[in-house]
Amino acid sequence: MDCPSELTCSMYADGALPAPEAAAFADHLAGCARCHTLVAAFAAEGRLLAARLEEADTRLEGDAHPVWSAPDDQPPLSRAARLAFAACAAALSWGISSVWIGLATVTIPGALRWVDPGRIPGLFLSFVIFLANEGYAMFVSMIDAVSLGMLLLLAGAVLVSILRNRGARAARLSLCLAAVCLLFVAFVPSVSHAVEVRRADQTLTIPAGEVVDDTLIVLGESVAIDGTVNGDLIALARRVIVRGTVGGNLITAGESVTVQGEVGGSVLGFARSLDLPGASIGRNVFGFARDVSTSGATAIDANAIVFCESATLNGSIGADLLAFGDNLELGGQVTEDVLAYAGHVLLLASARVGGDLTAHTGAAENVQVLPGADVAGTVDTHVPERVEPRTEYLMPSYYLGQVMRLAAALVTGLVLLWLLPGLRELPLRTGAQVLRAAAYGIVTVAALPVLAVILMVTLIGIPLGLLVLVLWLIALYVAKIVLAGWMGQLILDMPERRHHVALVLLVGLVVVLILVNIPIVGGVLNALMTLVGLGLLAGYVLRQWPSDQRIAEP
Amino acid sequence: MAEEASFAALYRQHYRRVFGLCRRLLGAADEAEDAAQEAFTRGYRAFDRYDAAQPFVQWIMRIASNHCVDRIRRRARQSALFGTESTEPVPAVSADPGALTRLLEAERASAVAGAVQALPEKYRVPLLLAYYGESSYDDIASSLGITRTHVATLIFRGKQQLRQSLEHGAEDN
Repeated sequence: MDCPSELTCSMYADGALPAPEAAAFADHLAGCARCHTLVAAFAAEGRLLAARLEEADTRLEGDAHPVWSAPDDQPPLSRAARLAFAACAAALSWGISSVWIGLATVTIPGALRWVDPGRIPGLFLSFVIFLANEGYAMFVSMIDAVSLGMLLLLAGAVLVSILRNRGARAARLSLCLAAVCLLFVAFVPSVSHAVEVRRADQTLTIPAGEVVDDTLIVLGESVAIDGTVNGDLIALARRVIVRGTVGGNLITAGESVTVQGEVGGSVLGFARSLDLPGASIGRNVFGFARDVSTSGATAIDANAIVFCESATLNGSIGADLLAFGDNLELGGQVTEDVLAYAGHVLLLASARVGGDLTAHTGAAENVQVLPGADVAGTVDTHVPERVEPRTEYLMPSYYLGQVMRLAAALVTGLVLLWLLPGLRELPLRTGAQVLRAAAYGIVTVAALPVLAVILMVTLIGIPLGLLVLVLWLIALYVAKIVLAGWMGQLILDMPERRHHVALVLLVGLVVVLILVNIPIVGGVLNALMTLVGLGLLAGYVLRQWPSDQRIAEP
Repeated sequence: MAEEASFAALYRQHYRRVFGLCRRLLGAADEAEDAAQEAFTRGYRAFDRYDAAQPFVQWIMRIASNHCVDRIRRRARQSALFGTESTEPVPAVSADPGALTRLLEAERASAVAGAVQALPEKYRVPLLLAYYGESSYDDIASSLGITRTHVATLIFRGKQQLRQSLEHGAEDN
């Protein structure tokens, strides 16, 4: 055997070679004076180094050491006890939910079925997909604003990190900056407009004949648009009336919104009353209001999506109608499909549906198609079954969905822990710490949207406000992932052995996923875990700001 | 109660050693005190799972090592703190294998400790874990998230740099 390297000799001297290699090396050593000398030298320097370090031990002032006192927190339960507790809690939850479902006298009203917390994630996902497919122009505008805000913040953060000589952080932020730049470039609109802001204490009017070539933001007690806005129009007022022309999108919020003119893009309206008599809408309408109404002269070229208490739609819709509410009265024309989640659906004699009518309602008799109404496709009425939650658990697709959720959360968590390794160790041992985290979470979940709304009052604040909202939504998603990491650490609690971060996260995520899917109480547990996770995130952010740790010289 | 008394006795016996390791790994006395206290607190919570066949000092030093490495990572905020095996240069052949031994014999303990503290973190940490923390190469590899061979390379390079540092110190004197 040729002489091994000095590194191998050093490893042998430290007893670090694997057994077969060590045995082969020992055989070689018996007949090689050079390697024998090397090993002896390495062994001697190891012993001496250890002795010198021990000799140079720093002495504590006063007593040799602090006095030991056991921590105040309750000792954690043994693993078996925790598993038993979790099993009992799950069994109790199943029992309670079974009794609840079995009670014949209490049912969720059909009109409110869609607010069932278990269904909202699915509806939200459908809405997002629908919006991405059909509301592209508005989506692009929103992405532009958010991306611009993120670009500004990230550029500032990279600059600060470089100035503070934080190379690794600057590198990570630069990667994020590059990703956001790509996002921004991908969504740059074909026609760009400058932004003009007008505000008035009382009534603000764009008179007929006036042309605004920019995107216009108007704020006031009452806003009346009789002129022409070639870009987008963002109108925030108690009363908004648009009789003129908007070349781009109309984003409006107020107590009462009336659109009678022409909008080349989409309409996004938040109001108590959203009225579109005789309006001509080039793309989609997204209405969030108590009452939504269109007249026979109203023309919506693409889709209409309304969330309201009552919708009276007598105009024409060029694509699909998606309605969520208590009462839907349709007297106009819908070129494609109608999908309604409503308490009552009424098709008047003048109604024309070019595709299918699908109604999710409390009872079959709540859907009325009057004589004379025409539905070219099928009319489907879905009445939710009381035992539906149970049958859901018997479907393989349910479990496939959960596996996909788990995989997505795991990937997100690993990326998050790579970016922020400090999240692997979170202070959550005592009851007081849990309560504090929950309190931080409550403040965070309430304060960020309020902050976003306040920011959006000003011009420069609109992209920042949208950014805050986006960050809030992201934080809501990752909150449980952060908590899952802590749960995994707690379950695999062996401080003398390190487990791979992916295993720790996976164990925690499985527990979280099981907890949120427990019938009835799953929603409550979901909310509690989200609050605590948010609080841990907020606490972590607060601890990093400012962060200027120096290593003191020994 | 008996368990707590037993743990308290072990604490008195081994605190200095654990504190010394934390002090050398983290550099600051106050941070080392926090880390040492945290290590014993974690050990106390996991004491029911401690296997008495393993020396307590090794067990508690493992806990302290893991905690200190986590603190170092958080401080540096980068996961590749110890580099990668492929980017670590191959250690040069020693012209005089016994040189470090002679230097360690000749220099004062405080000078040796100071030279160790002056090493780059990626060499200092595995060196301290091996020769002060009494950790095996496998334990160090597990703590640092690297391979055993990488640990060996870092320790070998660390000792080479230590020798150069002590030689320069001796020449200056």
